Amino acid sequence: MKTILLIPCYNEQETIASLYEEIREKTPYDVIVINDCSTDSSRDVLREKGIPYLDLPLNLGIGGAVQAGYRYAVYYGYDIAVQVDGDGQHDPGQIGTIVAPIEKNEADLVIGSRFIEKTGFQSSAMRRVGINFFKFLIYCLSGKRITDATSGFRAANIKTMQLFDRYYAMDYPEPESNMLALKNNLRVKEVPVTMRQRQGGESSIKALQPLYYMLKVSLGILISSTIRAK
Amino acid sequence: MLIQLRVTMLIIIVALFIFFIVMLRRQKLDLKYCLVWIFALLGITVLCIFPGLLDSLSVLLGIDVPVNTLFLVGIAFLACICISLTIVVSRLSARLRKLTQNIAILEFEAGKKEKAGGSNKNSNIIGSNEAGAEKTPEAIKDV
Repeated sequence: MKTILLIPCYNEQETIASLYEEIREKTPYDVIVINDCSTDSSRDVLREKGIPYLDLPLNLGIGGAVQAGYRYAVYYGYDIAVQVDGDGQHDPGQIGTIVAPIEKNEADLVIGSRFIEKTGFQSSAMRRVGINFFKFLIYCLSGKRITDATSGFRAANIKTMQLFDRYYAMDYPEPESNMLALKNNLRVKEVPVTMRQRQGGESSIKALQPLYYMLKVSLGILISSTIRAK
Repeated sequence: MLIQLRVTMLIIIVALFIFFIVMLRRQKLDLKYCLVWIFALLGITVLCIFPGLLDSLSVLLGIDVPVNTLFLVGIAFLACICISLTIVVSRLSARLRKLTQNIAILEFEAGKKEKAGGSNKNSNIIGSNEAGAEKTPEAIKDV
């Protein structure tokens, strides 16, 4: 199966090259980095190292960047697309684990969850409260349990890629898109992964925004639960 | 309605009219989005010239002071404009997002063809567009 790794990149000059090398060592998959108009020298790094990348002419935010990756994957006829963060949080060695259920056709969307085996970097207590709230909200609306709705370490098959190509939130997109997948009768499965602390870059969720973030994502999950792709 | 108020309003209306016409002539405003303002101005002008209309409307709505009716209608109108602008902005940003993503993909494709040793830069870009329209990813991949 043709598999591609989608790596959104916004100001990841310190980590992106080593991440790419690690991926080349540990996996046979194609890679496309989506450079979301980085203001540092990420683009030069990508070009120098010969890493394949999409260069967004405008900054779209994480959602728009990942969506560009999904569109690319659909356009080039890939069977599986895997989202991997550009900051080194996700261990390339575990990509095989999240791809496996899709290769065996057991799932349409696989989420790598930190909270199944509770190993590795567990995020801060505050964030876990938020993540548990999303778990509760998604459970109320869909009856399914997703322990790590905010995880950006996910694998999608062609059905899911096509859905995300059409509907994808601009910022903080993961919880919403998980809800969307559930409600559109895609088989969503979680597998345990171990995440590392970010090696560089910044979280897309910054200091003063938690309230806005929680409200926006909760509302997004609610809206997504009502969308049916035609 | 006092004569002072009516005169003030008429002056503002005329000023706005001139502003809109000038902006339209300079092509800084789209007639499509401007039309609603022009109709609103016409409406207010009619009310200014025939205040009796405002009085009857106030009686109809149960508002004691007619000028309050004017404010109510004005605020409702502004809210409508704001909502429609929010819709327009959302649509624009969705389109802009799609455009940005597609440009990135096409640019990538063009760059790849160039590297693969195409003879003419322009024909490469046109070629990639055609390939995109036909959706033949395999063919693109093999170049």
